Amino acid sequence: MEIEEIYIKANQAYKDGLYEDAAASYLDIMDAGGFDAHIEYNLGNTYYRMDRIGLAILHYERSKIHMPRDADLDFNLRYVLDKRMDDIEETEGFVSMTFFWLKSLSLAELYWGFVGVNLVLFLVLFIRLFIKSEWSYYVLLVIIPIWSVMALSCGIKQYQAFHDDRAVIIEEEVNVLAGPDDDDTLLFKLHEGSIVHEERVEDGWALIGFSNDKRGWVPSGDLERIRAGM
Amino acid sequence: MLCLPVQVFADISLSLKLDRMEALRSEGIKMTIGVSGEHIDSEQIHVKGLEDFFMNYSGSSTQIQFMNSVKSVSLNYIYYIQPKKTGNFTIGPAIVDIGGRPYRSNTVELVVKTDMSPAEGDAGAAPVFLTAGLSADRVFVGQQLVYTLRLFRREKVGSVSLGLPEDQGLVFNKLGEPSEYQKVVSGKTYAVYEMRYEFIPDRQGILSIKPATMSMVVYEQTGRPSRGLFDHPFFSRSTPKPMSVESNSLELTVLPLPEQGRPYDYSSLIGEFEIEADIDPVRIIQGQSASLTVTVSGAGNIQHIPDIKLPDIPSAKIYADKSVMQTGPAHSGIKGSKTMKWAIVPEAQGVYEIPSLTLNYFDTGLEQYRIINSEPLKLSVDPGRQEQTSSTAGIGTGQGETMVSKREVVEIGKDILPIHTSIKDIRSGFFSQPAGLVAWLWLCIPVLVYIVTGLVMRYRKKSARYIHVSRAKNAHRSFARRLKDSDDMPDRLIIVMRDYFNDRFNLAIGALTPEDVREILHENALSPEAISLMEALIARLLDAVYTGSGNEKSGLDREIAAAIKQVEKELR
Repeated sequence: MEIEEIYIKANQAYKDGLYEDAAASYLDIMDAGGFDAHIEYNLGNTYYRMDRIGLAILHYERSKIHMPRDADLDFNLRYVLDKRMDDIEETEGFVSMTFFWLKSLSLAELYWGFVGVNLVLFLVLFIRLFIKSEWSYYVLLVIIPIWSVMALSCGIKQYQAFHDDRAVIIEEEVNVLAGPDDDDTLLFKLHEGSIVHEERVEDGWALIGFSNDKRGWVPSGDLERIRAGM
Repeated sequence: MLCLPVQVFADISLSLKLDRMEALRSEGIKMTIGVSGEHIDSEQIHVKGLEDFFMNYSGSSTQIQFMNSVKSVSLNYIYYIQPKKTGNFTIGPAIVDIGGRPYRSNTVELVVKTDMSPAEGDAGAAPVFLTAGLSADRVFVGQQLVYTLRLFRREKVGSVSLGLPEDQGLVFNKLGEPSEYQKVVSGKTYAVYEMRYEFIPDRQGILSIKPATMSMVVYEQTGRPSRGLFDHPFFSRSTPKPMSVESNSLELTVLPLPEQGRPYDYSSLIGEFEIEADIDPVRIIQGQSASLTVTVSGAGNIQHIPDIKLPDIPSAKIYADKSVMQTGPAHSGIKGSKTMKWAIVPEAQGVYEIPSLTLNYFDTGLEQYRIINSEPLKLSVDPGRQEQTSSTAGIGTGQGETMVSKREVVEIGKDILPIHTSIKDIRSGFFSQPAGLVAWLWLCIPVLVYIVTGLVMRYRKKSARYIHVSRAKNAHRSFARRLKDSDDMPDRLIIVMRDYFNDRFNLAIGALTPEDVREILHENALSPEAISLMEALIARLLDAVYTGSGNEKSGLDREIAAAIKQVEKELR
């Protein structure tokens, strides 16, 4: 079946309340055609209807990577985040606050924007090899700072994407232990939908943390990386 | 109710705290009433629930703050109350009446027992010991109970770490903040640090709870106690000694929930609960909405309180809101409430019956299943008001006005937005980022084109200059070769001379004249002798050509060769 047919079938299943079937169809599309932000958004909706808050948040966050300004996604994600049991606040670093526009732009948008500005800059430089005119000089004065900011933005976004270790708890309740062993001391509990940082994985256990003093080990199957395989 | 004279304030807040939730009949309990706000006057404050207590005033403390030039005062009044009898008591609320408006504090539960706990009685004269206790020794599966640890100490301790008996699969959840108070055991006064945990047994049988352990450093006094300014082990004369203490073990009987009387739709709620329903307002106009609030509150496994299903109400639309859960520590464990709200929008006028709502749970006090119901409610809906319009004619203008009543938009329900269904959403387009080498190529190609073009242009400029230099360098050699080929004929000699001057000086002269020669050699700073010699030679050659003896040998080839050699020498 063509991808578009499966998509229409999946949407119909969602509207009919057959959420398990809808989720399965959306996942088939993803397996066949690779990642798509709208499919991830629809999957988020489907899992929310199935009361799987954790998976809903996971797929919404994945969609947000490529569709950061979508108003529907923003609304739904905020709504579902509000339903989490744990109160974990995500703090912004200095770089994120300074380059505040990075949150509203996807890596692809930044990349193509930079390609465009790069093209204009070197076109003007190319023209100046033959004609050294005044207008080209002033154009350069404007383009060079823009190019610099775009290059830096692209670089930072790429770095953030590469080092994004966020993961979502997908089980209803998980015990966070002091070590990677069932007999280790129970430190605290986390609930579905909480977003943590997965620092490393060892022998089926993942070391997670979400603030300076809250770190511990959970079974690696209890959470899923937002950027797995991206 | 007890009346206490205290200073109270406008925009006040009241709080009531006890230093513990359980005490013996012979013990004094510290009660703190906190009052804060802006100071206005002295008023009477009434505290309910103190009829069965003796009371002694201990003192007060004051804190004054100025924020944004507004004064704010906090007062803490400290009393010691002693129970007259055993039992379960609810102390509070503290109430003060200002300007006809009552301000209330919270209430606090207190359990007064008469017998001393055997664990504490047997502790003897040890300076530090740990006791464990359960709020009940017989419970049902899923029933919450409170595990209380008390550290008794007569010495200062530090670096305390606690090990709870969790290796048997028991999960202890902390209940509120620990409390500290003093207690007399075997005639000695101990500082007590009390920690309370809630846990819920999940299997039936006899459960043996192993002792809890606490490791710490005890600072034993050596010699006279320090009377220094800082009462801290670091400054006092004490010897630190690591120590571990163990509490007593406990036994708990966990019974299965009875099958008899279990409702078919049992909610798995265990504890003691009540349900309340309220509708506000009770009378509305058609088109408006009323808010139905149902609150289930109590103590037990609060998280299992189910969402109450509201049955359909004919001719009314119902929009459910998000339920709100609130929990807090209580003497018997965790208490709390779940509040569910619905907006009811009747479609026609009349009286709407909101049926009674049902909740079942296992009552641990009565040890049986109970079904509780809320009161049925009524909602009256009056006919919708007609839109009132009035026109007033302006004098002389004939203009009229229409007045329409406006209503504030009220949020009735909340839900996620729908899925995206457009096919073009899933067609992957140009706007995905290319990967790896292709991504770099898009960026690097303009750079490479620019660099390559720049290099080529630079090379060509250099090459053009190089040709001139090379031509000048080889001018003498070319001249010598052409001179040989000229056979000393004047018309050929004049051409050879012209070509030499063009090559040597990068010129494009068509016909060489003595004046040209003088000018060129003068520009290149040659000596007057060389210039005159060259000028004379050219003149003689031209003379030979124009007087018809161009076909006869001139005999000047050697002179010309020598003159050119002189020019080359001077140019170097």
